[in-house]
Amino acid sequence: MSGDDLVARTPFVYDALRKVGVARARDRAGRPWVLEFVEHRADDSRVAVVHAPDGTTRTLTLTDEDVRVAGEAVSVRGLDGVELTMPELYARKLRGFTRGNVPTPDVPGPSLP
Amino acid sequence: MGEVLRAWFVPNGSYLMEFAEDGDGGPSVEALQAIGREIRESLRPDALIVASPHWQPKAAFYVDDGPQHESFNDYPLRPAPFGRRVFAYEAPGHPALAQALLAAGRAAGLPVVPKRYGLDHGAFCPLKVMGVTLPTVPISISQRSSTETLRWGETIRAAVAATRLRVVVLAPGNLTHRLDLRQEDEREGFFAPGARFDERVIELVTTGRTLDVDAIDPEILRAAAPEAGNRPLFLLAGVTGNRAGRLLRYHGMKYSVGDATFAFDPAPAAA
Repeated sequence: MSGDDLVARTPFVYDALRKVGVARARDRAGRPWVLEFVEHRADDSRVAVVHAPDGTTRTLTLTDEDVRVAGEAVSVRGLDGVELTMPELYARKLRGFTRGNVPTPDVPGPSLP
Repeated sequence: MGEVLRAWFVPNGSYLMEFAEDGDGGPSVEALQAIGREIRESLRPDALIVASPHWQPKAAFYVDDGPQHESFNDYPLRPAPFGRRVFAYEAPGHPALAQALLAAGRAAGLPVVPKRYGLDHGAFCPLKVMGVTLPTVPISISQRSSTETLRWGETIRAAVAATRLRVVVLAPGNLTHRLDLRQEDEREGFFAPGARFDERVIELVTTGRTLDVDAIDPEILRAAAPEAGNRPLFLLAGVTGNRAGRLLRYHGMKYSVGDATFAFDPAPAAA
């Protein structure tokens, strides 16, 4: 498996080239959801592009309080009724990211964050 | 009267935990372990403040006032070349000290707010390698100006002085931090522009001119991409009364990362 494949399969990665955090989760039906955190705003909210399993996308602006993590469960304000899960190790990483963490990048870039 | 006993700028690469666990040692691991012994055996502080370079909010300086802090793994968890083992670390908090920092920050007119966060690897990697577990207050380094970061450091120093606590401060970071150039195998040489940058910063810090880091040629700065934009050094300048640092160890890691370890003995706080 190539490095790119590994990145594409990892439940949460930070891409320092694009300055984007990408979370991959599944809903109760096992369908994949992708949340791309594309902007870290001055008030520390994040702009997230949500890719739903049906192919639709929507853009949400999320504070750290809008992304709740409990064990493997992740709930996101604006995705009401959608119960997402991801491995706890990565769910905790996602929680930290929404609270201002800049992870060591999975895709390195020439500068951080 | 409380006191900052000593402060350090230390490396925080997650690979250091692997070196330590495997018993491979190396310059940075040895430096961290020596600091750990010093903290445990001679300084014996009441509490520790750690400012992670990976905690970089924009709106404020965050202070974790929780009673207990658990680590989370904010580094790649895939196989090599960049993946790392999963490590864990836990430390008690020091809510009273955290509240003192928050109150002092607000009184100084700085954007300082409480935030429950935990310990990312920028904080827990050095502590784990040091073998230190103390009542701990994690704080963010934040994406604020160097001037404001310096003031926050000064405020921390004054806040500690107003307590009865003996405190040590850790501001981890790397000098050159070009992870995009990283090589798994060590090379004879080190990324040349990075080496030049590191040499300049070491000269400034060890001669008490840390604040002049801001005056380094922007092109050199861009090429070196220092971790957290040198803010850990500005925080430490504030915390220590802009004292010169002692270079304990320097090692160019993996072609791309400048692992420097500095110790700072703070100036006596004003009465």
